[in-house]
Amino acid sequence: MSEVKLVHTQLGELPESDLQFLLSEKDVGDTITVSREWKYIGNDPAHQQHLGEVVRRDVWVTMKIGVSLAGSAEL
Amino acid sequence: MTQAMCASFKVELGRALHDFTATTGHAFKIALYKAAATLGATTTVYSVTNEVGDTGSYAAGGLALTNVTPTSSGTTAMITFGVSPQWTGVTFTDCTQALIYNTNGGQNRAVAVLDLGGNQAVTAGTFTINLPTVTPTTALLRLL
Repeated sequence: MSEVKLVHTQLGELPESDLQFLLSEKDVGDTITVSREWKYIGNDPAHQQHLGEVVRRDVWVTMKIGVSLAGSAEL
Repeated sequence: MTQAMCASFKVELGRALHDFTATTGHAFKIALYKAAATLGATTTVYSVTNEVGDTGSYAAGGLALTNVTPTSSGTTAMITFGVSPQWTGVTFTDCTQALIYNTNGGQNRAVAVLDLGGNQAVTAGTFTINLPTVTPTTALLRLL
């Protein structure tokens, strides 16, 4: 019997099978932002009002460059 | 917004008020701020004003950073931290900037303001800031 993997969301811990995730990447200026949105697609009656809603969103910001003593960069 | 090394930090370097040495150096932290915050080169100390509220693993004051002893390459000194800051189970809608500061002696002296690339919205999720690669042209803090 396979173990149900649970994912923490704003609705509580939900089975991963009740969620659909979408990754997106945005490269702006000196940062790259990767986000992962989890939408609820389950059939639990208690959560039907959230069907199709994003119930979790993770974000990774990658800085391409820091700051130098030589000056400040206006972004 | 302006990404900057704080002017007060530059002065304080000359007064030997910051020690980034691994293990034995000062304790540095990184705090997150909302779009309404007006951080920049003139920021001198950590402030709770417009800081992201307590959520998930984020608590006021932010996260402790892991010191890495500064190094140099050619004529450039480079300062960074050992672990990319990460918070779990957090929810916020408009985090745009971060402040690195030195908690030594409770002075909370500002080091640098980081631009997070626009409004970052996280919902019950993980927020990670991957620090830049340590090279003479990209390292988090560079003294040329």
